[in-house]
Amino acid sequence: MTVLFRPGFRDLAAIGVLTGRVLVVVGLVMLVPAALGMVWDEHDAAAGMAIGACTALIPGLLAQRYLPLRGDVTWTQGMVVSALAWLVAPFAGAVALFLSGHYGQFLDAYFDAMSGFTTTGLAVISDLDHLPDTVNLWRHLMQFLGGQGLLLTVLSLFSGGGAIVGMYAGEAREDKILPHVRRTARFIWRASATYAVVGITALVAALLLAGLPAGRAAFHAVVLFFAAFDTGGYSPLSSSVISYHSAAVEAVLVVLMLAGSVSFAVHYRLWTGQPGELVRNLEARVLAIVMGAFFVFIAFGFVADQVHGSVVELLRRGGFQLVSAQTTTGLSNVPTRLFSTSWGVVAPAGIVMAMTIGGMSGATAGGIKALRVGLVAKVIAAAVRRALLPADAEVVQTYHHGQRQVLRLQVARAATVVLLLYLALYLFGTLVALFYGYPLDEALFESTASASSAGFSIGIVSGTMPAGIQIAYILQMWVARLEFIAAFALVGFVWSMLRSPR
Amino acid sequence: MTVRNPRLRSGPVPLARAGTALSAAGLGVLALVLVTSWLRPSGDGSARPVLDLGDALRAAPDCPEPLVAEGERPPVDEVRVDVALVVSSPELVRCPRSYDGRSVAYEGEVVGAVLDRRDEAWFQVNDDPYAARDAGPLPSSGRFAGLNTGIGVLAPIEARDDVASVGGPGRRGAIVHVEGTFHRVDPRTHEVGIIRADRLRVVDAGGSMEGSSDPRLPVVALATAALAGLLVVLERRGTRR
Repeated sequence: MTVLFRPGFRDLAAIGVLTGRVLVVVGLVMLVPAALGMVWDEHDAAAGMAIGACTALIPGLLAQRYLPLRGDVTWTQGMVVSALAWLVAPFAGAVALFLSGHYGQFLDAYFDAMSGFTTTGLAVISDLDHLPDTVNLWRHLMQFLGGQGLLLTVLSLFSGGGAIVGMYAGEAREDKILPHVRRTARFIWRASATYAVVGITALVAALLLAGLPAGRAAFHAVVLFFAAFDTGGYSPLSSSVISYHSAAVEAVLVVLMLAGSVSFAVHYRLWTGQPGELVRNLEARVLAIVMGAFFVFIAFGFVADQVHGSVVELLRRGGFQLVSAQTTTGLSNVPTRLFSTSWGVVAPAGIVMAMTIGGMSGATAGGIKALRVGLVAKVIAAAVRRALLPADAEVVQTYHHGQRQVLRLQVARAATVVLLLYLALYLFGTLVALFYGYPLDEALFESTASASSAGFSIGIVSGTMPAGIQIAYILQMWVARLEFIAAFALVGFVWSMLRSPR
Repeated sequence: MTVRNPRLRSGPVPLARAGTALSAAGLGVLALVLVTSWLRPSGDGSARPVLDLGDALRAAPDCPEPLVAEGERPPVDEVRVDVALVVSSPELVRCPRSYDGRSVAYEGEVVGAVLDRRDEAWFQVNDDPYAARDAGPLPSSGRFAGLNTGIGVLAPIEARDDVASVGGPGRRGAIVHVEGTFHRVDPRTHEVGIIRADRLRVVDAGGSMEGSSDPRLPVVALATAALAGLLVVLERRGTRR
């Protein structure tokens, strides 16, 4: 017997209102670059941004006015809103991008908008180096909104609704740092604002030192902060971080990328005077181990394939790229095409593995997440211990994630399932690119970069890429950002709505 | 078996209405795409760039022989005449070892910013189709030609005085002709994939981009802003009651 609840009008109304709130937030944020565009004399770009903002505001406001929201909102509704919001928000963002005239097709603009909101950083924009600052700022604001969390932003600004927990979790945030989700959201904003002040100041100083004029240094500092702390990877210039030829800029970006990939729960403990969390936390330990291992791997590759010979080059190129890959940021201080033409085989493999794992859960980073890798490793360790101990011995595995916890079967199963789903997602994108005739190593690299939201591209992603691959990567970015569950909830919801009644 | 959710008072959405709603949403999306296609700055009509960079990935790279094999020292007692090869940035990035240490000639548009470093200066020089003198950047030419491609050039500081315009929002950068040595990894600065220039000559001074504003954009922007403003006013009045 299959029991399926058919959605009713109240479900649709609740989903409409909550999705509308997301659109209102996106529209309000778009007004910022629109206003600045008028100040910067980029009138066409400002007009395009205003149209994009209204494209989001009008349906959002109509939903608030005419759709009823009565009673508690269910967990399922919250999940569906999460999935729908991450489809609809990029659509609104794409309108402003498309009106800039730098995209050949709307699908290209939607790809970049999805890439921005999901903090992936892959881009198909044409002639980025002549893009108006208004539109460039919007590209980076999408990363900021997406990195902080679309639903998190809504929860911070709007009151009411029992969907809070469902929406929060649907956006792949499981850490309840403070007892109330809204207080958690506000702490995240406070922490981010602090990092913004410090990070942007440091970047301005480094960019001035690099030789950038003051006005450009300020603009680049702001957008680079969004790219690094929100692990987005968009750059204001097509040559990414290479443009600055500055170890100081790269050093500041490394700190910001690492800060962005640390979960806000760990940030909270650091803020409240519990630095020991960094040592005890399972994710921090996993990241330290894998990054150390991958760094050795990359160093070996550099030496074996005669890529770089000096320690300075190893640290600057290998170290920066490793941090950028592990945090799934995607900023680059080498032309990424060199990964396949000059880095040999071993070092790029290290980059791919780093992207695959990604950063911490509850942070802005993507990938499988260090927590799941750590939990699965503990499951394997427990299985080995069980095999070696007497049959009636009881093996209890524990881990530290905020507090000491027992590794329960449900948690272990969930971690393993999501890990396998990620691997399937990487495989899906690889198969699509292979179908279009790309070599295996490049298909695998690009698919991993897309699904892990790392955003490195070695050339498949471009304005000429086939639409089939574009759609596949869009799906990858969307599903991976939601970590599958909310996406499945939306599909199930639509299916149950369209199913014939029996 | 279908079980009605007992908490819902209004009942399940009929299949016909659900289908109609989804279809209407799809049509709305399509309409919005069509309207934005009509509104956006008109290009040369081609929706996709002319150059298919993807072909370069599918085909195996055909790189020239390196000047010196990896790990070997260049012969000291041979007289070598190193003729400057005319190169493009995709060639340099595709075959960095082949061009490592070679004299190259390169031409493109200065973009981003000129970065002073004591007695030298960094230039980012793009040689993509947007740098072409007959076409120019996308906002003025309307011609889609894919992503930007370029190389970092390190030139004597005196060269920065000749570059009056740097490409960016609303500006065409100076087109420069560079002759120098390509380094896969520069031994002094440790920068990757750069040209250390002996000579940098300005071929075209660049300047502000030409192009007229589209009158439709501000009209539509004002109209939609007025509608959004009206909705805000109605929403606030409804909240106060």
